[in-house]
Amino acid sequence: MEEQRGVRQWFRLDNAAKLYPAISSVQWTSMFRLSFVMMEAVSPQRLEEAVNQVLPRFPAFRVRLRKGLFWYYLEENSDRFRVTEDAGHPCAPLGQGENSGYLFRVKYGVRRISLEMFHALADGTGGLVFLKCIVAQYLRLQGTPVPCEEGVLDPRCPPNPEELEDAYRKIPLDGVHASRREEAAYQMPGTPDPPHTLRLILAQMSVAEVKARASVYGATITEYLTAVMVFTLWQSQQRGHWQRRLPVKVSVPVNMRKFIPTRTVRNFAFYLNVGIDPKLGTYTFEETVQLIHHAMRYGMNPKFLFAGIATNVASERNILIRLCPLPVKNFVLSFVYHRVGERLFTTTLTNVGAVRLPSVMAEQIERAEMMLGASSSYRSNCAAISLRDKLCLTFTRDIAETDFERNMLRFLIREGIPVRVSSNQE
Amino acid sequence: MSYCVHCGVELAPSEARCPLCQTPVVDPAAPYDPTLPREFPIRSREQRLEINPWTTLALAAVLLSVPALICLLIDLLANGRLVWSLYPIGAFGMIFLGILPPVTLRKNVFFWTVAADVGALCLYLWLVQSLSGGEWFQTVVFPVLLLLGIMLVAMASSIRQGMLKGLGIPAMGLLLICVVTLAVDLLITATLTAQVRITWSAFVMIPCGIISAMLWLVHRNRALRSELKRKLHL
Repeated sequence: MEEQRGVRQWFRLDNAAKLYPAISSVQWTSMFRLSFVMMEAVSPQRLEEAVNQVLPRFPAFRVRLRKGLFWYYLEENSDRFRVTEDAGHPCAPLGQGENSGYLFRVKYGVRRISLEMFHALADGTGGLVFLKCIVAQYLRLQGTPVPCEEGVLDPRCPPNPEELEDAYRKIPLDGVHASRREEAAYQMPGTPDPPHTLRLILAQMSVAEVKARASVYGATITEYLTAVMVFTLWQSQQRGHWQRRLPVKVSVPVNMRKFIPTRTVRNFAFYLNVGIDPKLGTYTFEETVQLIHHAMRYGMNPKFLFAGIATNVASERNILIRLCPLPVKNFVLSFVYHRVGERLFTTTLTNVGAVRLPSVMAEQIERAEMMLGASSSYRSNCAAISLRDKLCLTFTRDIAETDFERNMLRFLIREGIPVRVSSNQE
Repeated sequence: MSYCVHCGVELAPSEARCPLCQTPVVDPAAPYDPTLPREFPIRSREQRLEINPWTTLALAAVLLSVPALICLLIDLLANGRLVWSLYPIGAFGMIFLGILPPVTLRKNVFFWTVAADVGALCLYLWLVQSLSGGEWFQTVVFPVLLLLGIMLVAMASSIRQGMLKGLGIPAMGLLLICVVTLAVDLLITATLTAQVRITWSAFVMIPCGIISAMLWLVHRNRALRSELKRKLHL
């Protein structure tokens, strides 16, 4: 919630956001990136103007991170925002004092407008609302009248308090408690890259073709892609010489706005780890899809999701934890996350879904892209987003090997789905 | 449009090879054109952390000068003159000199770090000798440190150029220990007894030499290495 202190506003970090500053370092920050590839070349000056016109509408993003005695907090930042050229590698960790302390970057390529965001600020849904508003304002400055519909907010209106709320606090707590105990998952092998390196492969395919193939198995696109991922990872695991047959699990973020109505643009997501256990025998692809389909339907139940979040919120509200000084909290959270949290899943598949835009705006945009920054434990991750009939899967990795991406995309080709790839490799 | 013959994926025109399996694009109808705009900026081979070296050095200087000043003050207040404080002050100076090359340099970092560390250590020990008296620095310590520095640099460049690999590295490391131990023994004996003979260093050289020879043998013999791997694999 927004609070007043002197002249500068400040915000408490939401429940999910509290984790990210604690586990971040100079070498690694939890970042994600959303991009729109425009039909025409991007004007940097106009883009910068558009960002600075839109920013006052999003007080939750117009902030810098500050340290308190017990928690981090976000403090209002009134400095001018600068856009940067998309020259280096994407989703680099935020440097100290970079861009006046803003926790996001807006980058321009020849035709691409990208928003790179620190996860402490927002989740994919919140980030997408912000990017839509920036691009809509950019188009308005170019002379295209973009109406405020399909999630495009009016930059002239004052910020709505509901957009700033910590929606995790809406979850009923009453005595709910879920165990955090979970079996460690198989970790993909790989040769780590040097710090500040991110390799990406963008795979484009048709939404209709993926949907048609998924419906053959009675699954949704997310369930189908997760199943392909799990199945190809399981096949790789079988080819390796691993002594322990750990379960292959994919972490799938769940947008909690589906379960509790809120207009927040900050974090409001939870995750579901779904997969297969090689100790139970071998699997066919059909079996894998069915298992993932049922696991996701079973897991995406308010009872389970609320209980998981309630456990985290209860920990955050514990008086002993609250009284713990920030450096101690940082050390404990970082230790637990890197030793335990990252080992609970093999990889991540985040699907923001279909982007809905006002028609005049959609005509100016060729495709949407989403990518996750490097993970802290050297692996490949995948993010999906679609605009019209174009589904973009972006694989990002901080390891040299491409086994994961290769196996998954070759599988999709064998399934009869044409795939077009591009990368940031020489 | 080109397709990867191995993966079956369509490749963007800006791709010279398949990003999934590195197979080069060979399409007579549409040969690869490096002047085409890329969809993403090319990933740099290595991107270093942007930390200002002078800030790090200034921070190190402040952190080291505070305890040095405290030592100086305590010594002056307690004794009215400098009695012992030059020892810790010299040690702090040695640490500062030692961190200069790794912080400021980008090329040949190992060579200059070893050179600076040996130089700083020599300066410090010379200071200790000047304060406490004796001839041990120029007769024993300086030649040993020089030899150690040269051998470390030689070993590091052999590893970097691929001349030393696998078990050859610990074998050469043990050999280095043998040579340095022998040099220390000979120099001390020569200084104390005016005779050049091997004494205690034999107890270090014999086990180190035997282990080094065994490691070298295993390193050179592929069949033996494979047999050991087969028997001892975890």
